[in-house]
Amino acid sequence: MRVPALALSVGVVLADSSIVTLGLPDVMQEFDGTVFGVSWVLTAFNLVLALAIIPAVRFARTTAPQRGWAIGLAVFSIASALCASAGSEAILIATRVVQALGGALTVACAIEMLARLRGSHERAVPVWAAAGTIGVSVGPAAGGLLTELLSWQAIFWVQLPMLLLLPLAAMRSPGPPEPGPEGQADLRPEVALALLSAGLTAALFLLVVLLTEGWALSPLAAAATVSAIPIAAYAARWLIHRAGPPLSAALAGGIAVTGGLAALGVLPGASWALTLQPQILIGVGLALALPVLTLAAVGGHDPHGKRAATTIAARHAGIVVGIVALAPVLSWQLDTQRERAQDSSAALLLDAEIPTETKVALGEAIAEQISKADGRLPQVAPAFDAVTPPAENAEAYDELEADVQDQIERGATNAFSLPFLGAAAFALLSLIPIARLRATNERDL
Amino acid sequence: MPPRLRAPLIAFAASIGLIGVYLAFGGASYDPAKVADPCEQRASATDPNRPLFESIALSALDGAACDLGVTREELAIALTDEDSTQQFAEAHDISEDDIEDAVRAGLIRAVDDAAAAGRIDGLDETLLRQLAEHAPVGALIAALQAISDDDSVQGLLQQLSGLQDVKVPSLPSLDDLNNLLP
Repeated sequence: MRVPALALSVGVVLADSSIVTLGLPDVMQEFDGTVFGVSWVLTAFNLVLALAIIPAVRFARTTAPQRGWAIGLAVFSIASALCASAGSEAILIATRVVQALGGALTVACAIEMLARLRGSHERAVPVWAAAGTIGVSVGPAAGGLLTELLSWQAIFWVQLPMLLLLPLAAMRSPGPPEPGPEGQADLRPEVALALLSAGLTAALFLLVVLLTEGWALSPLAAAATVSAIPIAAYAARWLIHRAGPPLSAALAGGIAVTGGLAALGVLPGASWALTLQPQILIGVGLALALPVLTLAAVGGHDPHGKRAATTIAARHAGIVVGIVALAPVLSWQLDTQRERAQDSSAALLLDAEIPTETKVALGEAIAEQISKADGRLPQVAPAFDAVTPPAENAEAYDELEADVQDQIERGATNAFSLPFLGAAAFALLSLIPIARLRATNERDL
Repeated sequence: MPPRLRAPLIAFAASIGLIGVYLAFGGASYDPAKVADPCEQRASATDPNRPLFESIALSALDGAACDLGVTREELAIALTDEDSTQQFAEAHDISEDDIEDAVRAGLIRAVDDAAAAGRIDGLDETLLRQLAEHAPVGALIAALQAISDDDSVQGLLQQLSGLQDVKVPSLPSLDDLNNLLP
């Protein structure tokens, strides 16, 4: 009973690094925020988790981990409720920081308790690594579902029942800490994991914003679309046994992730279906790279859980680097492309073969939509619906609507091109530590 | 092929293949269309099938945008309301008077273009030139927006005289318009 409960706590906390992604567009609207500002709802959590997990693991080893786990879980759950009740973006970010502190203590103590219950940190790895992977994979889809059916606040409310696990902390001690000297971590797998996480999370964040804000998909449809990555990763897990030596498989995985991200940077149209092929490539890449790199990072003798902590810190630091580096690029590109799309739409309207009165009425309706969009990409369909053209111009009017919509979609899609290529650059950089690990491994053999 | 190279090469081929297909279908050029240079003459400005006042308005926009060093479309959006005009002026570090001067110069150029294309002459040309040179620019824009495509110069004058807060001489009939002639 305790092992599933501990695994569940790890899965829920680590899912929080991505679960809120699909709620961000709604958060941005509710608090009248910007893409860059709202990205800190994700960044703050991951930054604090990355910074706090190493001292938290030390704390867990030197004190009673069940007490630390209970305190961490209580702080995490109550902070989740505070996130749901936040009245401003600043308060939401502040409560996310508290949530991450509680989360770091929960994960660190859960890892220590799992190690004591299973006899060693080495034996605990499969449990918490699987729980974390499932949490991070399911997170975006779960967040999208909750946002669509209820609200973004529901993402945080559903975490409150984690308090029900607290009585388990009162059960007998899981045993003494694992003896032995502190293990030395080889940081190359961690660096590779951090760079892959940077590329992947930035891509997930970008894809969600593109689907919901750029192409106006509902959170549920966006959640279904971005589920292609974890589904592909799950379906392709058998490939790892047929892809040659493990580190060659990891290298292939890194290349596939880079290729998939770069393909998202050169989308030839504004359709969710066009994102599936790159997502499948990324998912297959993950199936090949992540297990090998995680094993290389946390495998072997690790009596103090130091390598486990470093691995989690590296992955979450990578998430922070990816979002902090690429969210401002996206903000800048959205501004630039919005202006270009507005100009090209205005050109179409000015040159359209429809009566001047219709043009003027339509221009006013579009200007109202631009004003309503408040810096984001405007929706033009309501403007066209609001104006009735003369019957003899109906065909030209419909053509104009299709052409203007096309320009807006081109602007929306193109704004994400450079950020996706930036995410691909992070994944490309991960090939360096993977290749060096592979070379060292071959030499040792 | 050695097993250590097989998977990386397959991943590389799949990546290049997907990127290549996307590029072949226009992935590198899927962006908003570039707008035309307002300083270059457009065919639409002299198109005889286009309503006269629309041609004049478009040509005036081109001329003003060319003077201000912006696109016709950016200027058109800026002229939709006062807030947009202010934002445009601040963004380009120019005064609203600069915009008015440029629009007036554009209107005069538009009348020249219409006359050169043989679309106006005689009294209509003189009246339009007088309005372009002396009528308040804001009122002219509002009148050009409100006028019907098949209206005449007299219709434009009626639109102008019907606008509130605009100091345009009362011009009830064509006979009175002769007073405007030099």
